[in-house]
Amino acid sequence: MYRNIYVETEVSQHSRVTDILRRFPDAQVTHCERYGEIFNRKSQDFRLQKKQPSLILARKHDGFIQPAPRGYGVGGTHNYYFSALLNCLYDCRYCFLQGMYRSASHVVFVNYEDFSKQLYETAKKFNENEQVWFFSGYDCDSLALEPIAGMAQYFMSAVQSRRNLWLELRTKSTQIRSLIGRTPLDNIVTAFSFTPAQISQRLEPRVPNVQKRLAAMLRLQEHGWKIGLRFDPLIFTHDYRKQYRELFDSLFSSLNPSLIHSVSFGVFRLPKDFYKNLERLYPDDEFIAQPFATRGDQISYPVEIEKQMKNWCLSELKKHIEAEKIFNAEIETPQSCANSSKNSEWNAPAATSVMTRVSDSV
Amino acid sequence: MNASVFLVVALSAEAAPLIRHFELVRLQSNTDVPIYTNGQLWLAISGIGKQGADKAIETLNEHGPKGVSAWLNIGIAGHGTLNVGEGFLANRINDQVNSDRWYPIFAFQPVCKTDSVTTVEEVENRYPDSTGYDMEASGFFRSAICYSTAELVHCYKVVSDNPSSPTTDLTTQIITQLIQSRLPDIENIVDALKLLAVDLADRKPSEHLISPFLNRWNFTVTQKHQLTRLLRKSNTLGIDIQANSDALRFCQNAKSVIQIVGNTVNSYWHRTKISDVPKHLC
Repeated sequence: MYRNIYVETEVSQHSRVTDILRRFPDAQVTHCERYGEIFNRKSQDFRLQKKQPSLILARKHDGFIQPAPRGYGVGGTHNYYFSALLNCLYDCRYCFLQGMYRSASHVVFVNYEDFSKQLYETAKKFNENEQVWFFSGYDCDSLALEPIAGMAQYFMSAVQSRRNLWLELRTKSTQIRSLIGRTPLDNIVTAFSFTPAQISQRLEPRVPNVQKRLAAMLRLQEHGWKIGLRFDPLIFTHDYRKQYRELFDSLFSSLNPSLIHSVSFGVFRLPKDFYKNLERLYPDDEFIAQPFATRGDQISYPVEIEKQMKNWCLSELKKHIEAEKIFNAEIETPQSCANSSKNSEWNAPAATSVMTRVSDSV
Repeated sequence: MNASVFLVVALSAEAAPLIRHFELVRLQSNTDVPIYTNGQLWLAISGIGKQGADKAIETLNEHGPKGVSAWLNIGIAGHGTLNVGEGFLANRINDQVNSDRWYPIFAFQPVCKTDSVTTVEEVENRYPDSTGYDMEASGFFRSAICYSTAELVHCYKVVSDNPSSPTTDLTTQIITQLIQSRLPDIENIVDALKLLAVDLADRKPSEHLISPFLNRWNFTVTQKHQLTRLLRKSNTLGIDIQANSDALRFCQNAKSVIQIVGNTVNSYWHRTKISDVPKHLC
């Protein structure tokens, strides 16, 4: 899988590094001082690198835990994310990572213990009856690299005895062995992201198909694990109602609703600067070429499409699951800006993402 | 857009088998650095040392075709442990003088092994480390990276000397023979770089989209970028800009052209009326 592996000299003797290198006996190993010498340097091209991503094994020195962006929570008061891995096996055309990084290399920060220490420190700031959420799938897919990196395995153990500390593993993969092999934990949610099958085939190269992911979710539920559903981003098509209805029916008719922790949805949106990078990387891609609307520092569908899709999805989701479990990742439009945008259909104003529990806002 | 591969070699003896193999001819141009080409591939003989490599790159950039360029430094190197005749791509380039380091990025599957190269000022006969020793790589990489993306800049070295086979044994014929023996590797790397360069070149806007507009109206650099972006979108989405040819005909300036083209592109959503099939999913 990896032909080139870069290893920071500082971690070259780390047991995780040794274990990972053992899996790739034919890889060319290059030692470096800091991963930043290779990753995300100027004059690099994400799309070219995606043809053959390298693996970088490094140590993270600071910034282990970050406040989650607004719009990333699923009911907890305190939301944080951590990125022990950077980048992803998959190549989803809408993904913000391709706009954020110039490198497509997969980075594994092997000092998981330093992350968990900070997790505990962060959770300590709050009362024990408050849920403090940590999202592990922000800059990566939480499970896709699990056979190599063992990241989920480690952090599940790290949080198992701390009941106010909640962990979301967000994924499009079917790598669930590390969960199946252990007793389910109440404070861990494995959240699967979905777009309808036809859209997935077109926009999510390398992602396991919907049926395979559904099968993985069913196995997790059979073993007593909570799962989450993430319909984010919602992708607009002429027949999105038909496509999403089929997807919802397929998922909700198979899954045990009592073991569905949460469902969230939000339309496709990206920071404007990242979108510009995507336009440069994929100028002939018909999804990227669509004339998205600019709202503040974000781009997304025009407001009328966004509203229509969200309203429809919400009403459909409510047919399947209680509103308390549904969360809406909105693009929030400040009122002052909204007034000034009435005459401008495509250039609505400053926007930020914000997650709201549907039952609170309906 | 054009995609070219530029080769930089230090010695005529290294260049000779490449010139023969790739059927390159001397460019009739009054340059200090000899340049050879077959129209697709360009080669410069830089002379020994980092400064020569830098100058060769400048010269190729000036006299070679414009567009996307891939750069490959080919040459002999000493090595602390590898056998004479082995070829390798540099995966780490160290400059012995200033301690700078570079890491070439492999967006293709190397056909040969990869190893580090240390660029030295004087011939290294002690081989203190298990690394390649050359005299150009760091100068080459530092300069070439200014003209291309990192994935398109590489150094290929053929081991010419090591602790058991010193440089004093080297002759012009041996150097030529060493490069000659690795031509399959070199050809493979050139092909891989060419493919990547073409991939990148294909992303650049076609002149035919924009030139009718540039010929008729005066655009600032910023306006040209705006127009190019809009025309590419319309082209990708199958939106016919010419449908607005009447409106365009009466445009007085570049600003109004951009406005009309922009409105036409934004009509994509109106056109689909949220009920037609967006082209990206057809």
